[in-house]
Amino acid sequence: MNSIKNNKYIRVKRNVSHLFSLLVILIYFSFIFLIGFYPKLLAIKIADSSMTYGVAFGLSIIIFSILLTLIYTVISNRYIDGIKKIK
Amino acid sequence: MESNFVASIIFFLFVFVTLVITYFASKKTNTKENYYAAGEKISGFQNGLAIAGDYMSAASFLGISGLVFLSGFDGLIYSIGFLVGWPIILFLVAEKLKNLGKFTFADVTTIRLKQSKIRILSSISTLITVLFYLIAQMVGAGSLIQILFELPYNFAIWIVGILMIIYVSFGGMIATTWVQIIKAFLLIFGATVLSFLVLKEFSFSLTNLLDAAVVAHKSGIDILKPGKLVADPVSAISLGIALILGTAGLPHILMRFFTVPDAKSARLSAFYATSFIGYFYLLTFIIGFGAIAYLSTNPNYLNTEGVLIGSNNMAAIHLSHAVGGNVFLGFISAVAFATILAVVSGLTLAGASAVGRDLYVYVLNNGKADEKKELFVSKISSVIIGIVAIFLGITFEGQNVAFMVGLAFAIAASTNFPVLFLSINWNNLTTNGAFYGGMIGLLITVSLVILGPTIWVDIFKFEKAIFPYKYPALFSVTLSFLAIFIISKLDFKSKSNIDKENFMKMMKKAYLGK
Repeated sequence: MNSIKNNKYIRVKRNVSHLFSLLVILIYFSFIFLIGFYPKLLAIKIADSSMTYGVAFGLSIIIFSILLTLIYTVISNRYIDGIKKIK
Repeated sequence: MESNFVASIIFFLFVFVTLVITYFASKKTNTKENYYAAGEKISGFQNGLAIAGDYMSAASFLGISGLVFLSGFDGLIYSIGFLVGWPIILFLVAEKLKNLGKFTFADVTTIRLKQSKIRILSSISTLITVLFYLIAQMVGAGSLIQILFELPYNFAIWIVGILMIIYVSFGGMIATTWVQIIKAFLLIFGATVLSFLVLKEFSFSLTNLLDAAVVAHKSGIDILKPGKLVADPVSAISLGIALILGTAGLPHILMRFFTVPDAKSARLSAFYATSFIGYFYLLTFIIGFGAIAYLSTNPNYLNTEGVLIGSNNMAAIHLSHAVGGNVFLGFISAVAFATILAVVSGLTLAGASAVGRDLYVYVLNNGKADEKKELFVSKISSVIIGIVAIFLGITFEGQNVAFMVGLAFAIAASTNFPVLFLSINWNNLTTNGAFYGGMIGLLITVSLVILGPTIWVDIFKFEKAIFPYKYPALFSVTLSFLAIFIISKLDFKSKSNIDKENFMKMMKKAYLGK
């Protein structure tokens, strides 16, 4: 296992991948959790409009997911790939 | 009818272009690399579009906007679920898959294990997943075309079936990729125009749209909160698990990652796919609520019982007529038809590859087979799968087959994903653990669905379901991981230092490509 632990690229890549995955899983399952246990919270309106916190949360998850994949791709392309060459 | 004319023109154009592409592709499909993986020449961007085209079925477009039309927020729950698997694929699966495999995802699951058993498991679960998914697509296609073009149901099934057989048996992955790319472009374009026309009427204010929808819908303000789709916490979590993990276990999706030249392109593919798919689901939200606002109280689109003509799945179609007239209705109808072709082609190719590659080469021929013979088997399999799909599509006419897509996702989440995930990440996985554990996962999933309300009560007409939940994933995925884990641990004598070394080699290859 040593050569894997010592390999900086693998370490960084692995940590970043796991971190980002955890973020998505946390946000998504918070949403699911609210739907399952506290659906009334999601029905609360924002200000005076028809927009509810539930709808806003839901739409935000979609946008958040796209943004996360963008950030991950840019970080991987610009920084993490470069570590591969460092011995 | 003017819309039929427009729809037919666009549809024939689509078929013509794709058949020309298939003709040119057929000259190249005499090598494994070209037939299964399009010569690994697809770019990250192209593959991202193709993946989106492969993934966004008529169920996404019509089904989700139809669900939003019916109960608002519940449709949003589904679309979010269909999307969140994609970031996970980007972060955990895409690059490693490309680095470790070549033609089918079983290349990756068998990388440290004995080929024969695991290939049997992968091909069985692939074929079952593909079959259920195909039936749902075919039945959807038949009824859609019947309503849109007033053509006989069986005729529609035959058209879809024959076209998909031609694309896959002659053109392989090259043709399939381009069918999916063209469809993705048409679908995203059409949905964008539709959403634009809807929002325009509400001064591009989402809250105005929601206000109008709440007024128009019979449930009023209730459409903006979770409804009856997920009635309890267990169902909510179960559905969530099935969607987020199932996406990463769908064979026709995983196969797409082998068509690019390297891991970086695989990464780009997953990124572009996520963006296109996410953007599309934002649009289905607007389309669904637009449908509520425009159609709920408009007698032009309701039948005598006040229900939407054709079924709720027609919501997006009727909306396109309401905001864009006959011409736009024609365009959207043609796009809906093309959408089905792209998905069924991908599914058929995944099934054919499982037979030709996993079963014929590895199980029957110990890993070595003549390329010509292998490709012959794959191509014949695609024809047979196509014929079976046609036959089943005709047989299941009128049945409510929506649950089959859910079942396919559940199997993908409970069998394909655990074995794939553990083979990349767990050094103590053994062949027996993966094989028997995976099989147990498969059997449990199918059993729980049969014993659950969708089949036991709704189809078999028993009074009460033995397994009380519509969505089995929470149980089947957990039990599958447990079974694989326990059997692998009990099987410890088949592990050795050589396996540990192999695990390290595999990790290096997964991350670095060599």
